[in-house]
Amino acid sequence: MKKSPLAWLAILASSTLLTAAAGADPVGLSLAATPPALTASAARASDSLADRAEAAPAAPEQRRRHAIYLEAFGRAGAGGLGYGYQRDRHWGVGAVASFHLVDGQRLYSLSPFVTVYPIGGGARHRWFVEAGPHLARLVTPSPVPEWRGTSANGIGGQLATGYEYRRGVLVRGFAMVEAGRGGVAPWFGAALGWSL
Amino acid sequence: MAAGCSLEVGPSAEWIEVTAVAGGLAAKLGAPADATIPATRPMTVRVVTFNVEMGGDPDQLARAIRGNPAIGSADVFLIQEEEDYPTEPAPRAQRLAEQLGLRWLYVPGRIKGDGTHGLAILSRYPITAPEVMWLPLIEHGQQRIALRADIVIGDVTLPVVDVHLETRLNITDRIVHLRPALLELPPAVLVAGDVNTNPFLWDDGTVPLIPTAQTVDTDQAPILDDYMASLGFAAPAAGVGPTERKYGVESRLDAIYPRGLVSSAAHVERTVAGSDHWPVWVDVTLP
Repeated sequence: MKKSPLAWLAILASSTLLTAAAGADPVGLSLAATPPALTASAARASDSLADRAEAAPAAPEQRRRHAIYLEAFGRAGAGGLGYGYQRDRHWGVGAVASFHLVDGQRLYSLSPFVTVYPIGGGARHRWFVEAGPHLARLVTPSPVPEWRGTSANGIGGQLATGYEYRRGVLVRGFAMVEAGRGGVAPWFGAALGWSL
Repeated sequence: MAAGCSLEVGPSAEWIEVTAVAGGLAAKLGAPADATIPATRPMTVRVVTFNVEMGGDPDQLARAIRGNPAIGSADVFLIQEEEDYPTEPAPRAQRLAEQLGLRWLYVPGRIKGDGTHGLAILSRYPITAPEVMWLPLIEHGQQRIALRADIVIGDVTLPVVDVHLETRLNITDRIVHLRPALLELPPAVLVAGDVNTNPFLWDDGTVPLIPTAQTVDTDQAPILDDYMASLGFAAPAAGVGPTERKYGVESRLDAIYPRGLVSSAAHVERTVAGSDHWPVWVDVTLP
């Protein structure tokens, strides 16, 4: 059964919310669990305040460097699968890839990008800016015997900016512009996934 | 990763003599009272394709056409999006044709309100052997037709096919949609009309993948040209540029495809007002 990207996102959202409602962590990593580094810190409870500050661990969300998500609309136009690696609190890298089959035409799309969090912000709510190239290949097989079909490749650039919520669940909404041989066009997207 | 959906394309179709269609979709044709046939056969005829966007004001449209030196005295017009309503004094195609001094044929493709919507051929020369084809119906689409007729120019017959294709189709479905109207044509023929070759890849016939169109060439017009070439058709309109501008998007939606005929390069007349499309024309050299 075929489902649109929005339908897949709805399923993912339902699954995540049901899991959260049941009191379970969606990725099996309890947010309330004490990290090993914090246990070590507690063992030095008699140390001075300065020492304790020095040993303070990163917030849990800062340690979730990896994220995977499904994107609706967005970089590939109609949806894609994204991965992001957060180098530190200010920047990261990632990519969204997709394979889209429409009326027999096959569209392959890859959008690597650099993510910048200009303000830094909190661990959960952040504003992000992403930029990178967009590589696409469109294969049009012939639906009839008298024609051989055709294909085309292209490269463009994308600039996206939007809001991100990251706390186990990753939620993003963004606006973007795409520039390439066809000109410049605005677009938008949303993403739902997990930070790991 | 994402999987897109496809539209259903209906079964193939056949040519039917327009005289065999009765009732609300019956064809209408006529000629101005003072219509004459030119005494000498010309070396070339000028053929125009024009989507007139319902042709709601035939008087204004006729003024716009007559005011353009390139198409004001053209010999044959293949018209799309023409309409006819019983509350109006005469079919719009008739009113337009009479102001241009041309013979006319109007063939409805579907009922619209209390009237009809369809295709028309206007010609300085007699229009004979008209046939209509109900093109494969596209899911969520409207019934589209192709209209075929012979233009009798002295001792020469010029077969023409007027088409208007569905809008939000991808090129693979567009080819399947048009193909039945192409397969049984004579070796020398001219096919023209609003083929709606927009520049987008459509997801499920509803969402144009706009960012993709900026990066990789999703324009359907050159792909349809390439398909037509596989059937022996030339594409003199390949270089005319956009024939419509809407919402800031320029598209080459209209085309002329001659086969077995010598034709000039095509031209688009962007000064002709009265429609959301611009007319496109070629000169065809008669054998």
